[in-house]
Amino acid sequence: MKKYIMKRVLISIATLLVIILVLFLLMDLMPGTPFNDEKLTEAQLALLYKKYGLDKPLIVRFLLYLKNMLTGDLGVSYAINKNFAISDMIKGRLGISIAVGAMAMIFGTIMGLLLGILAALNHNSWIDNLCSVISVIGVSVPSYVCALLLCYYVAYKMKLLPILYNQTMPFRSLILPALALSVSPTANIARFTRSEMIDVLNSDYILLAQSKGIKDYKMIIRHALRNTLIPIITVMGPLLVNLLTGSSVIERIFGIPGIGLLMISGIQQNDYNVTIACSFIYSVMYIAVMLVVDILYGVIDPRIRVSKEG
Amino acid sequence: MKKLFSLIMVLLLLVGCSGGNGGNGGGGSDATVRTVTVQAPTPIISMDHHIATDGTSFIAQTMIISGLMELDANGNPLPDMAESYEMSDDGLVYTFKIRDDANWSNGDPVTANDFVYGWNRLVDPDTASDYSWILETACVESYEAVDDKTFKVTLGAPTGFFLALTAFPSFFPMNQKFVEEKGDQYSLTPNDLLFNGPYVMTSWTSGYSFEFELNPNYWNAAEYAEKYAEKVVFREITDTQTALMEYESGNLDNVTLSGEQVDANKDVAGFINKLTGYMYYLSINMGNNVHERDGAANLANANVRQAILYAIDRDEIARVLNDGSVAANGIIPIGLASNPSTGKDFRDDAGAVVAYDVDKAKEYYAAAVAELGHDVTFELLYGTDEGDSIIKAAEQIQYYLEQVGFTVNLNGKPKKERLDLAGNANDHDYDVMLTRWGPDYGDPQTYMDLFVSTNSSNNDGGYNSADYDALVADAEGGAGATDADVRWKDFLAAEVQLVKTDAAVVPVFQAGGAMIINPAVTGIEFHSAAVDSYRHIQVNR
Repeated sequence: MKKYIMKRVLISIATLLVIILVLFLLMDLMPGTPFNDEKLTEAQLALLYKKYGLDKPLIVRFLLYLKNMLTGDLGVSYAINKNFAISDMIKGRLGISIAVGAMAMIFGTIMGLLLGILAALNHNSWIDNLCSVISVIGVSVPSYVCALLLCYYVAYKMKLLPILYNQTMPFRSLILPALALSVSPTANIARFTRSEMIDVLNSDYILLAQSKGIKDYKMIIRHALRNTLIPIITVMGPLLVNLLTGSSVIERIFGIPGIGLLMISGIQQNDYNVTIACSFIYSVMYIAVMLVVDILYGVIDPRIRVSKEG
Repeated sequence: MKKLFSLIMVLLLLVGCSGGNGGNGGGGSDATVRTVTVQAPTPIISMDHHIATDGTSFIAQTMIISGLMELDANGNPLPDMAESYEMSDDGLVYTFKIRDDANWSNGDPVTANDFVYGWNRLVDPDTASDYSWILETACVESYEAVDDKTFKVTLGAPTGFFLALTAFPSFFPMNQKFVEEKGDQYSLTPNDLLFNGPYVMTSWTSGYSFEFELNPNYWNAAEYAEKYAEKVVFREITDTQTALMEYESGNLDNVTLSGEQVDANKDVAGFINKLTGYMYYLSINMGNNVHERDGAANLANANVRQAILYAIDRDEIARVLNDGSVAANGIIPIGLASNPSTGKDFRDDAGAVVAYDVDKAKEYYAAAVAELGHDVTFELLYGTDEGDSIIKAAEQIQYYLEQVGFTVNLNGKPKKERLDLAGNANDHDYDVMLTRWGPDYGDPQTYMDLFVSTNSSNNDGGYNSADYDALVADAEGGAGATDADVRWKDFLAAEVQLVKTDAAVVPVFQAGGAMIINPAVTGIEFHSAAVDSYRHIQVNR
C-alpha cells in the first residue's frame, strides 16, 4: 500500500508540473493583456509589462514562477486587486469556498443517501417514483435557480436566514448557498444509491441475512449500504472537488468572497497569476481527492486492497 | 448511525433557524449609530491613488484622502486641504495656502512637500500610473513647495478645469516618509494607509465589503461629527436581484437597478435616474486598410458613414435599454462642461449634431452603393462582458442599419479581446466598433483629443481631418489658449466637423444608471465628469 501511495504521489507531482506549463502556454495564447483599459497608451503598456516582468520570454517567466512558487510566492495580481500577493488573496477566499462546499457535500450526501435508500426499499412504489422525480428535477434544475428561489422564499419572504453572506454570522449565512449547491449532488447520489441498493438487496447474501433474522435496519446499514458505497464514493470524489473549489454563480448571488468568482474574474481579465494559482489549487485538490478515494476503496472493501497488494 | 443522522439534522435546523430576524447587521437596521450601508457593484482594485483607474477605487480614496480642493454637489471646487488660493491675473500661477490644522492620521502635518512628492510619484515611470499624463493635460508646467504651507503651481496656459481637477485622486498628496516606509506593502490593507480626509478606512475584505469611520484628525472633524454619517459601509454585491431583495429588506441604503428592474420600481420612493459621463459611440474604421477587409474600404466612403449617422433611432435605443441612458445628441455628453461666459451646458449650446432620419439615411446609402458599385456589408464589434445594455444596443444598431440596406454582422468579443483587436497591436482589426469613453475631467478636451490625427493611442478609426486638427489645436494652444470664449467656440465647431460633417464617429447613447436611494439618506453626489462622492452623506432615520 505504501509503495502504491508513493507511486501515486510522484505521478501527481509530475502531473502538476505539466499542468502549470500548459497553463502558462494557454495564458500566453489568450488574446489581450491584463491591462484592459482603453485609456492606456502603448508607452504605458510597455511600462506595465516591464514592471511586472511580462516582457521576458515565456520560458524565463515559467522558470521564475516555478522558483518563486517553491518559496510560496505565487506572484501578484495585475488586474483584480493590483499588486496584492496572490497567496493573500486566496487564503481568505479558499476557506470560505471550502466551508460552503463541505456543507453542501454533507447536505447532499445525507439527503441523497436517504432518498436513494428510501426509493430502493420501496422499489416500484409511489415513494420510489417520487424520489426519482425529485432526483430528475435536482439534476436538471441549475443551482442558480434553486439559489434564487431559496433566497426569495426562505430569506426574503420568511426571513429565516440572511439573504447575503455575512462575516459576522458565517454559518447561518452559508446555509442557503450550501443548500442550493447541494441539489445536484443530492440528486446524483440518490440515483446511484437507489440503483446500487436495488442490486444489492436482490443478492443472495441479503436473502441469507434476512433468513437468519437480522433486523432490517442492521441489515441495511451493515450489509447493503456498505456494498452500495463503493460506486457512490467514486462519484463523490469529483463532485466534492467541484463543490470545494467554489461556484462563481452561487458566490455572485449570495455575495460570497470565494475562490470560484476569483478564478472566473482572473480568466476574464487575463490576470495570469490569479488564473494559474486558482487552476493549480483546483488540480491539487482534484488529484488529492482521487488519491483519497482510491485509498478509501481499500478501507471499505478489503478485497480491493488485497488485490492491489497482490 | 440513525441516531447520528437525526442528531445532525436537528442541529442543522436549530442553528439554522434560531433567532430568525433576518437582520444582516446593515445600516438599515441600525438606528442608534449614523451608519449607512451602500452597495458597491464592483470591488476596489487598488487603494493606491496612482495605481487605481476605476470608479469604486476612486470613490474609496476620496473618502480617506483630501486634495487641495473637494467638489460640492454640483461639481464646483471647494477648499479642502487648501485653506485658500490665489490665481495670478493671467490665470497661469496658482498659489495654495495649506491649512495649519491639516494633519495626517499619524500626526504629521500635511505640507506642500506632500503634494510635490505625490505629483512626482504620479509621473515617475517606475510608478507606471495609468494617469501619468494628467498633469500635462492640465497644462501643469511646474510645481514647488514655497514653504511648508505654500504650494505653487505654474500652468502653461490658463486651464479652466484645473481647480476642479485638484479634487481628482491623481492630484492627492502623499506622505513620503510613510509611503517609503511601507514600500511594496503601501495601500494593500487599511493598516498600510494614511488618512487626511474626513474618514478612515477601518476594514477591507475584497469581494465582501469595505468600511469607513469618521476621522477625528480631519480639519473639519467637528462639522462631520455633527452632520455626516459616522460610519459608511460599502457592501460588494454584483447580483442585481439579491441586491434589490437586500435593499427591500432594509439592509442596504441604496441599490443599482438593471434595465429589467426599472419598470417595477420607478414609482418607489427614492428612485433616481442618474446620468453618467460615459458616451457610447460607434468608432468607424476608415483609415486602416492593412487587413484588406471589405468594411474598411467601404467605410472610407463619406456617404456610407452619413447613412450610418442618420439610420439609428437613438431615442428608441435609450427606451429599450430602460436604465436611465439617454439618446446622444453629440459626442460631448450632457453635464460635462459649461460655457465660460453664459454657464450654459455644452450640449445646450451645441444642440443636436446628429438626427434620426431614415429617408435621408436611405438616400445616402443609395448614393454610396452607386459610388461603390455594390451593397455594403461590415462587422460590428462590441463587448460581450461589458453589461447587458451593450449587447442590447449592438442588436438595436444592427436592426436600424439593416433597415437602410446595410448588412451588419455582429462580432461580440470580451472586452480584453475587443480592445486588443481595435488597438495598434492588431493594426485596428475591426470595421465598426461600439465603444465608450468616460471623461477624465470636465472639459470638452477630454473627448476632442481622442480624434486628432496625431493621437495614435486613441484614434483607432484613423480619422484624419486637417480642419478638425486645426480647430482642436487652436482651442488648446492657439487663440483659445488665452481666450476661453474662442476655445469654447472652437470645440463647438470641432464637434460639428467630427460628427455631422465627417461622420467619423457616430454617438449613440449616454449611459445612465437607475438607482433607489433610501429617502432617509441624502448627500450621495453623482458627478458625470468626476468621481462620485460619498463623503457628504447625511442620515435622518
